[in-house]
Amino acid sequence: MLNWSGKRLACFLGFLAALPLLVAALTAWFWRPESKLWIYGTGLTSALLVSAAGAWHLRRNLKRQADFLIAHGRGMAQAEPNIMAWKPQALSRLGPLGPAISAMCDALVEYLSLYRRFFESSPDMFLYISPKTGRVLDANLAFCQALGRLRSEVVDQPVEGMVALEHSWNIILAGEEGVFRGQISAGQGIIKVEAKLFWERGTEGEPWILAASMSDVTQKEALHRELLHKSAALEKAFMNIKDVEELKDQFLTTLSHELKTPLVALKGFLQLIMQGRAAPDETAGYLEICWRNLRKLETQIENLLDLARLSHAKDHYEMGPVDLASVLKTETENLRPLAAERQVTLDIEIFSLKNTMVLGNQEKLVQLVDNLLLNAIKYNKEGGEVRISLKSRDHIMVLEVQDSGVGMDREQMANIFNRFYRADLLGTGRIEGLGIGLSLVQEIVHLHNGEIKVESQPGVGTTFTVELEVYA
Amino acid sequence: MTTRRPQVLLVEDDQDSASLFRTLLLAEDFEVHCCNNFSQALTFWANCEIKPDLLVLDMRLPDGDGLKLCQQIRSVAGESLPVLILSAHGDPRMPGRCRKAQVFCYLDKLKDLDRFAETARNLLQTRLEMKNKNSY
Repeated sequence: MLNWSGKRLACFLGFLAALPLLVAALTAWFWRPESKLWIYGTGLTSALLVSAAGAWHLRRNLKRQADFLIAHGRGMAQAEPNIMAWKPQALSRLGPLGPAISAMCDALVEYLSLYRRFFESSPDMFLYISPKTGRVLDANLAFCQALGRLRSEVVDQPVEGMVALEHSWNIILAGEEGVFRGQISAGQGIIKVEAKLFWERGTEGEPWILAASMSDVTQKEALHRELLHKSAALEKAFMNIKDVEELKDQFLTTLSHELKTPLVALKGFLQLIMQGRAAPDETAGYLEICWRNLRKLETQIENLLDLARLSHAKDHYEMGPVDLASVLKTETENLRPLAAERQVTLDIEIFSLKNTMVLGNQEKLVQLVDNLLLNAIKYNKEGGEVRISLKSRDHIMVLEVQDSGVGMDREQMANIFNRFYRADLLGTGRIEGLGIGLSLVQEIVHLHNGEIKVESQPGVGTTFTVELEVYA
Repeated sequence: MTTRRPQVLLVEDDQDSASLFRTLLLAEDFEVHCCNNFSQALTFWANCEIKPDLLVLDMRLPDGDGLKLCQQIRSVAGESLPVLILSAHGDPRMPGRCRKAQVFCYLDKLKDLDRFAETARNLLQTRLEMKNKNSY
């Protein structure tokens, strides 16, 4: 069952083995010695020696080819990079077994090439790692490209120098598997990866080759972070909405109270008069109460409407030159009785200014000064004082209203201009008003393109500073 | 023998509203004592010789809550003391809060103004009838 080369070798070896016997027979025939035994003995021995030499040669050849096949098989199993270039041409000594093995090899190479095409075209990164050395046995194109290296610079290099995982490679190479997070230090920067590690096992279940499939999760993690960030922002927005909702509920309750309270006296006393249940000498007093409460209502409603108008219809206010010093003096004098009632003194200081005119709306500026002074009186201590000053700095008119009242903490200061915010500054649990006074002040300042600042210290007092441009 | 006029303690911080409720109660021939706030009402209750037969309380007082004032006075005067709570809040949870505090008469200051005098009269009448019943 040997092929032509094998047959030729066998014939040649047979001929070589038969030659000593032929020589011995011819020698005995022609020479005719007394004893032919030594001639046949020598011929036989030579034939045996030639046969033994031929058998040894054949055995050596076969062993070399078998070793070659085994080495090649191992090489394929371990995915050696150059294995596909090998052509099994030197199997001639195996006779028909040689072509059979070659055919099997071709089939394997074909299969290997299919696998390689899949291996190379995958967007995921694949690695085979030797557990003994911790070096890379094979890596696909995606991994080499991510790393920015040639395959020859990747293969046979220690994996820990290329991929850093959350677990030490020593622990992983000792037999661990699972999903790990890590990173590749690539040419363009850091690539975050999620690595699935699993063991290819031998026939007895022993760890053989460590396979790693890695996906680039840099974008996914960035999206995840962005999502977390947005989720936190949404949560914050939701909390703000809840706060605003709460503020709205509080405002509606307050609005109901502030609008209904004057209406109670108004309705009640008017009913008494209309039903003729008021004595003639009481009627004037009742009407006075009605009038006072009517004015209260009017003020509340005007303030509410103003707030809406100032927010949305700033262009509709007529602006002209207004003497701020004059407004300040008039309103201070108007509020002196109220301040005296609360035992608060009002001190006004207008520095020697040539020009105290600003471009503004007279009515709104009166409202601004009124609100600031009323707050300073309302939140003052008994026997306290309010210092009002007007000075000029670089074409800017600076109005300061300083009280010696209860003051505010940081949180109260941060919210003081918020619409409907009503701080319990007096600590009574009862908060008066709709909580729109300072919002109105701020809107009026914005209407005049000015600025407003507040400084305060609990227990010491509060200073509001309004800056408006001088009208030249 | 002259019969004592029923005594009412009115606690209301808004002066004009207090003036109205006082006028309406006086028209019913009750004797009315007015207080502006929580602490003043407590002091009055502690010091008055003849204890009022009816409490008319504003829910929102400058230094506290009307219901709390009611509980404090009732803890001294007894649970049977009739109480009329007034409020301008318009908060739908208010009647529930009142019932929880064993106050069964709650009026909206504006909406129920017409019923105020009648309600106060009925509460006092029930109170006096109970007192008379107990004295027999």
